[in-house]
Amino acid sequence: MSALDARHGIGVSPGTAVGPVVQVRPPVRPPALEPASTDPAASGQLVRQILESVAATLDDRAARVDAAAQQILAATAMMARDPGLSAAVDKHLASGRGPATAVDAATEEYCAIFIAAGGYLAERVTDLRDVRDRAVARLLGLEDPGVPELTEPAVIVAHDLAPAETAGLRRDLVLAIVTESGGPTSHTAILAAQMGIPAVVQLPHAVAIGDGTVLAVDGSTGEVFVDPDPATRAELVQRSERRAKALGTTSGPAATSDGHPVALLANIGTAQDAERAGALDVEGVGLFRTEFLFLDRETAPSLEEQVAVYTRVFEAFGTRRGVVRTLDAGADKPLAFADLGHEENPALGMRGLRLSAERPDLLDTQLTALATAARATGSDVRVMAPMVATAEEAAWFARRVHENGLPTVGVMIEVPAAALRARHVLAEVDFASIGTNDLAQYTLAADRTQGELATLLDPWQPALLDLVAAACGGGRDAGKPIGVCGEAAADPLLALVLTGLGVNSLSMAATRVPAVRAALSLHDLPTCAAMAEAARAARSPQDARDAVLGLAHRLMTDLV
Amino acid sequence: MDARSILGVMAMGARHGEEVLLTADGDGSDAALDGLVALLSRDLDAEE
Repeated sequence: MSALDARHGIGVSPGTAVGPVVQVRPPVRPPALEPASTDPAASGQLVRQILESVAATLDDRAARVDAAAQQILAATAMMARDPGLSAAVDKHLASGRGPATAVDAATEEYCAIFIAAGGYLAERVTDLRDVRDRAVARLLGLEDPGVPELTEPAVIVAHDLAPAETAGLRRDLVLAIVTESGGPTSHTAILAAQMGIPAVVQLPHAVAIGDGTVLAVDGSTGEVFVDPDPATRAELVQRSERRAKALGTTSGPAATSDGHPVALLANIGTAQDAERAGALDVEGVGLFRTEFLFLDRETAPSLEEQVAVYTRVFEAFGTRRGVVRTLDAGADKPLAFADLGHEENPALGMRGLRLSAERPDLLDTQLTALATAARATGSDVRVMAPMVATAEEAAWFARRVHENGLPTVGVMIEVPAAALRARHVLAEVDFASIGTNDLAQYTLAADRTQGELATLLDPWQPALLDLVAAACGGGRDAGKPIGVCGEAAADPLLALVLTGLGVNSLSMAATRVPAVRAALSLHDLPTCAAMAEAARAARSPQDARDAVLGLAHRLMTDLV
Repeated sequence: MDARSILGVMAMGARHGEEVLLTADGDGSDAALDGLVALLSRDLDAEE
């Protein structure tokens, strides 16, 4: 056997797994200079056969999914069999195009009409393009693109996965996710952590690994072994056992070893998330991202619909706290019913609270729904605004929340201005929660969706820690608690630093809570404070992490 | 418009309240048309 092929990516969702690779193929385009069909009639027949085979695959899949997915697949199969589509393909074949180019041109004609119509029809473009991508791949003799239907447990490998593809993965058959691009704060990474699937991003040459090759994946360290030998497999298993043991020692409300409490909370996006996380040992919700209710639809959700969803979420947590972030949309997460037009710099544009200021009707409906659900369940509901930059904005939001009968109001600190002026911002509200992902993006001026900028977005960046320290200082001056709800909170080592900086609560994917709780129980508050000082004194993220690890308990190596 | 084409029907972009003319012949065509008329006179979005 050849030398061990060990590679390093970035671990974004903890846990280990060993299993065969299933590659997710990107869609292929028709060849740029595809020759004209020499026999358009025969090519037309070939395309019809291919489209029929695509329809048959979709029907086959439809037979094995739930009712809602079944209808979508059946309708997509009808599109593949559509006589109008094959007639359009004939037209393009006759005008001198090759078969793959003709299929592409014919589907794009329909797509253009649907996109122009907008709304529900525009959403069907995804389905039609799925038909096109499969047909084009088959015409070129290639495998269908996208996530293949899994028949046995596998490690999913892709260049990158769309959030919708990740969300559609079956937890029981996906052992781990490995991508070649994508960043640690990409939505795919966040979803994988929420689903409890081990994941590694930015693994070099991941897409070149053949289907069926066995991979051993450590989603904590980012290590991936290709064709691991028995010793490597055993080491990986032992590592996850040591980890499980370290995690099993603590439960209940978290505190440092000298009794300083730190509330550990869950980040959720949907009622289903709430029900999963509510069953776990967490002190409540630290970040309920409500935008999932608003995105991908033509009209705003009604008051009744919102009340029903919020009630379900609060019920899952009983008397525990529920921190709700009001609608964080706009710019790169556009809403069909609140289109504010094209922006040159969406991340710096009308997003978050700025959108709410432009469309207060959306905010008021949401606040009314939250107040109604809070009354119905008797839950400890706390509402906070995204993308607050100034004390005036915080005051405006607090007034609106109080007018809607909700007693507790806070703001997100994602903008450096709000971190630097936290004392004045916090004078207007009851609490603040630092969103480290966006705060890093704005502090380092690095787009968080661009994988190659991941090192700039490292949550250990000393400049980011300086801003967290500034926000905590403002919180102390104002006598108000500060939380962290970015992915930084989920790193057990960094959680100690944040605690040392003065953070009172940490919110993360619920599956990450046990590791953070165990880390806190191993250290006292003065050690956390010393770690915070050491991290801020370092000149790079790596130096900061090394310095903190040097001060940590020896068991921490199994937790990080 | 050939209504066997789901894409063609979708591309018409007909919205609720707009009038459409349906024709069909062959066995069972009257029953099929009656069923479609009943379906089209409902506001399906409002029923969800």
